Amino acid sequence: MSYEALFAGYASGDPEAAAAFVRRVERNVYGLALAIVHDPAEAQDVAQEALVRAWRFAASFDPRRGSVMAWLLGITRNVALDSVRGRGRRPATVADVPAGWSVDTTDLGDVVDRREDAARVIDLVRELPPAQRDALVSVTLLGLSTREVSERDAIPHGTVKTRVRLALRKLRDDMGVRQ
Amino acid sequence: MTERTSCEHVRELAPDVALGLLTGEERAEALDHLEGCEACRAEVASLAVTADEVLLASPEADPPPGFTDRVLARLAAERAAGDGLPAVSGAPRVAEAGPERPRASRPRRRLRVVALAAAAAVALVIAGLVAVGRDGGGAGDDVAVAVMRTGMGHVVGEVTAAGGDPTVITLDVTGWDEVLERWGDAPAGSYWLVAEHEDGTRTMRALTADVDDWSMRVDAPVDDIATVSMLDSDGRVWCTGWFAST
Repeated sequence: MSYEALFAGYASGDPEAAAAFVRRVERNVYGLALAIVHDPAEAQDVAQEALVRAWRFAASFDPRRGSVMAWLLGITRNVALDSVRGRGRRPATVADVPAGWSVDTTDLGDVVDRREDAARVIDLVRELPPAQRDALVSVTLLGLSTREVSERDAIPHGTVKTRVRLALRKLRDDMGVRQ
Repeated sequence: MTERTSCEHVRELAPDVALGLLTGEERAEALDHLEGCEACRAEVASLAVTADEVLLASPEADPPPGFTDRVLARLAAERAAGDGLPAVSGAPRVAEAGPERPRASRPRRRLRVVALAAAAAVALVIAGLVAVGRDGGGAGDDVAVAVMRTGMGHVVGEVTAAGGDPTVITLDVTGWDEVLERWGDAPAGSYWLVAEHEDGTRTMRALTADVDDWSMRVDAPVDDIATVSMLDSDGRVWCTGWFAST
């Protein structure tokens, strides 16, 4: 059954569909949460909250604008960043990224399961110019601010912002996302 | 609209808006512009969708055991709070039979008893991030009382948090006869008394059918207790009491 079909059941409150949906997405949601908060207990809290919010705001999901998984992970990222920054900490940086996962996205495809729905995204991300790719991945998957990337890489803040903007626009165009 | 919040300027900032990177006045100005500019909104929306798609490349990891069940319990609680009815016919009951079973003829029953220490009770602390609303009740220096309501707003009793070492939370259900009448065919089982702390963590005590006292010891001051809920064995909330902020 597709994510969308499972999500429809999840949103309706059907217990069986909810269980199936959670089991299907929990590795992704928890994985992203862990990558950002870098603490298993906190990641669990974040993942749980993200799933509850997804249920609560299910009506706002628009299938014409993206996949359920992407939407759900967007919620997860926001919850994770709120959690990290709300406690006065910074998101994971390159120095403390969980073992086995590198911010160097040339290896991204090797460390992430090439799920059918993710493979294309990974390929497109990998095709970005390296500097743009690193900046974009840092602010999306790692949850860093552009200023934090600037400090980390010792490059001007404006340069980081420019790289992120260029990367996101190029990716959008490559993906064919409608404006 | 100022020059700085022109379409051109907002288009330049659109990726930052989509990624949530803007803060303060700059963000406020951009959002103000977006409110009245459909074209810029579309630009930001398309970039936001793209940013979400990037997240598909995130790593996967196995959550701790029991994660699915905890999420489902949270969802059940949310549903119950939203529509006022447990998602299944199960509901709290004290005992199947015997002298301790609440009698329908009693208009009010204080469910008081044996809150043994942690060794005897099944007490767990589960981290959570629930933002809870508050109404009713009042938190004093060492005793706080809150009305217990179902999701539909029906008052079914009250909960008392008495300060001490430790704090003791006691549920006092009124209208028990109505409860039995409504939920008389509820399956026997265990229930949960759940105290949610201000920081979102929870202290839970499992209550079995042979316990007629719904109380719980909580290792936290009274002021730290945000809500107390009663859940059935599947984690579905039957009623909740919100303590007022101090």
